[in-house]
Amino acid sequence: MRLIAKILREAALVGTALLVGLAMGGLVAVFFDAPPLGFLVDMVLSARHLPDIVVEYTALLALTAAAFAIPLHAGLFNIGAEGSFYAGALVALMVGVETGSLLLALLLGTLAGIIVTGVAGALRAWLGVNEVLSTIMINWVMYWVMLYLVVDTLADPIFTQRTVKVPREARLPWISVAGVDVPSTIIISTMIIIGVWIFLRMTRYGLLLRVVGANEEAARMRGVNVRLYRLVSMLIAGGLAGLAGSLHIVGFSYSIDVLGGTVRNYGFNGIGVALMGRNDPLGILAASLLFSSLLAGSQVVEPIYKVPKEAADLVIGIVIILLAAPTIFSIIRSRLGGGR
Amino acid sequence: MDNSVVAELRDIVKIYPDGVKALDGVSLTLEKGRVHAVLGENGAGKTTLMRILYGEIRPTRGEIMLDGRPVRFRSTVDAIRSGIAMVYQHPRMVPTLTVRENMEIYFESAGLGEEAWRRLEWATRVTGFEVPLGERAEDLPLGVLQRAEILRSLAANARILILDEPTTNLTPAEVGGLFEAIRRMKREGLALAYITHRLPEVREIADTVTVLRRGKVVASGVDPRRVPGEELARLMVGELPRPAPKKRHKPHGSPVLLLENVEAQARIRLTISRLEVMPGEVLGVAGVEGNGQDELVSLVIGLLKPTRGRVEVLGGIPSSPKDFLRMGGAFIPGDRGRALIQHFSVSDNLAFLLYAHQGPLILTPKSLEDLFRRVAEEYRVVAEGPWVPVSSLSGGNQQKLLVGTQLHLGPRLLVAVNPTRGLDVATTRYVRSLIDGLAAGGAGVLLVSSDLDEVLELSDRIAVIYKGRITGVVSREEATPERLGALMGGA
Repeated sequence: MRLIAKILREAALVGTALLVGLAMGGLVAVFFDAPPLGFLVDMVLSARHLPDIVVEYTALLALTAAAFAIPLHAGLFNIGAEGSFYAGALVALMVGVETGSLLLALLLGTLAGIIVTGVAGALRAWLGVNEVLSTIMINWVMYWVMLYLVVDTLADPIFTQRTVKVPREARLPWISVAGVDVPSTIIISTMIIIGVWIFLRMTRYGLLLRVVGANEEAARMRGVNVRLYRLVSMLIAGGLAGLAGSLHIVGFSYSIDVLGGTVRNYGFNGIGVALMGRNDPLGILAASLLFSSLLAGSQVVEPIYKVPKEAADLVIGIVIILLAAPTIFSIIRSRLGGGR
Repeated sequence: MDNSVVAELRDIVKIYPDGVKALDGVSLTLEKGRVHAVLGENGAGKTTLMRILYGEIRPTRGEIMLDGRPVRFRSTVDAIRSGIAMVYQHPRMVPTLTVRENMEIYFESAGLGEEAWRRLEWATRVTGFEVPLGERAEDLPLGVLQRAEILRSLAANARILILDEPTTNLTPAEVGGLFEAIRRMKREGLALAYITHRLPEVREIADTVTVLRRGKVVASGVDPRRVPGEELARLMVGELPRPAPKKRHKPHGSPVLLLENVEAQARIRLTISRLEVMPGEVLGVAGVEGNGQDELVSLVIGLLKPTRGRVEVLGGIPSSPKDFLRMGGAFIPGDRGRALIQHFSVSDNLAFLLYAHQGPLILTPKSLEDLFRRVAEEYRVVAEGPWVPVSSLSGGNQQKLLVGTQLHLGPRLLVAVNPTRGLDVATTRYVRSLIDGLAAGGAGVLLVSSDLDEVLELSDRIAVIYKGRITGVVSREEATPERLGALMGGA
């Protein structure tokens, strides 16, 4: 009974937040002389217009959100998914172009992500360096490394606004599911997120990782290696974000533009998705779909209703804040209250 | 109305959001120059009642009258400004600030300035308490902090002083000093409320007694000098069977725990030349809290490395709590709030406490439910189900969960710290019988407890710890509260 009540309460909370967020979005539409209902429908159900984009965004954001969620379960704020995403995209592109091997591109791209966020994890574990600071700095390092290589060595000699593309044999094929062609990225991503859920909820190591984040002292008293678990949480996170970056290249864009615009913000948006999804893998899947729809929706409503993209982004912001607020509050409370 | 009455609580009802009825129509009056003891078991509602008077908790129903006028406190600051002060069982001072700074914060919240410091001199004369104002709170023993809190209460014009289990952290000598101060504060016209579950103290210091049981007044206006102690005990506890006389264990074999020439340093310095626990034996460690018990326990479970000497557990030397648990040790920490994950489910906590050091890789919901059925049933944990958060369990059930998992491990050495703190009589008796049964089955138990009665009831031998040293080891036959008390005070 308690569990059902809890689910109902959660549903009511999410529903209310969504309604309030959309109502405020409607107000924004009215302000720009757009019909509020049509504006909102196109915003939320943008998949009608841009199905591929919504599916791709969902697949990638779910992974970068998990890259924030897992370290948070272990008590760390990982802001480094962005940097690992860049590293994954960059390495997957280079490996794909050089070797033409899809598998190698994915593997080495993931490994690059592990190394990048792993540095922050190791700094935290052995030197106590705050992971927020180190990951933010590493994000910038990776950003400039990527841009340098993109412009300097990877740029396409003919289409100079972007890099060379990964060859056809190194691209991820679409898969036919019940007669509909679906990008493999969403299937890979969904399976991984379900795997993360099983790891966190149904394995001993997942349980201990959550204990490390919830009550460090209790973990220590039972001989749980707090440092190791935190490091591993960062390695997993780096791997997920690196894989997301690789999938972006081999499954979606096949190249990087010289301004880096096509690879930017997946890591940061993942934080919002994780918070909206209550830091739970299954919640993240749902939140990722919603966020991606709104993101694509902001591109849809601009030409249709002549509403500036910034206004549409405002609607996204309102929805995120309302949906993420409970998670943020519970994080703050558990930090301040020592878990009691 | 009698004008010696300064405060009156009328028909106070307190129902917590989770539906627990902590107080059910409790009335109580405090009079000038008198000590009113509020007697009751843990969980009877004594502290809740006084926190209501102190403005820290709002009553669900009922009235508070000060000098015959109804008052409504929004916070403790209101209460302090009305002349009410409360000294808690555990001092509430900012540990990193000095006593003087702590007092200043308090005076400021009471809206007082210089005059409070002048009154402090008067308070020092009345109570005979001397406290080092310049020392940081965390560097001072609990007894000193308590005296500082009493002083600052008086200096801030308190007319009503609430003392919550004030002797918990005191040595026998300190208790004498406290009682002397209480008598002198009475003569100065203060109204005192004295919360306790200790009968001898009530008989020594109280003028009148209100007995609470499960949130209800079972007796009021009792003169403790006229009513026999057994009667008070019966009122407080209700009818309960006497504990069965304890069977003697027969220690045999090689020790399950052996400390030799050990030195270690954490918050305080620990020096132990020899301490051993034999199989089938309960070794009690008695002492006022903060005399090295934490360090001793950390050493034994492998959390703290000795700088010298050796700690042998079941023939091996544990390098971490994981080692300790794998070797066949089990550990009941003193603070269940810190040992359990309050917002995790009961099942997750069970799995954590049983499997942190080793266990199955996969924990399916089904296997966790089975675990819950087995452990919860065996150790009488009352919970709505395996998936409710541990925080929804009562303190007693949380403790049974903790103790149950440790016994479920089938340990050959159990380290138990204050295993019955905060529990009601029935649960206390049950937990003690579990520990006793474990020793009877051949395991060794290191029982670290600040509750002398508990140590006396369970132990075969009793080691007293004082300032990081074992000041004496006595057998149960030689142990009397007086003798232990003397050792605990360093005499």
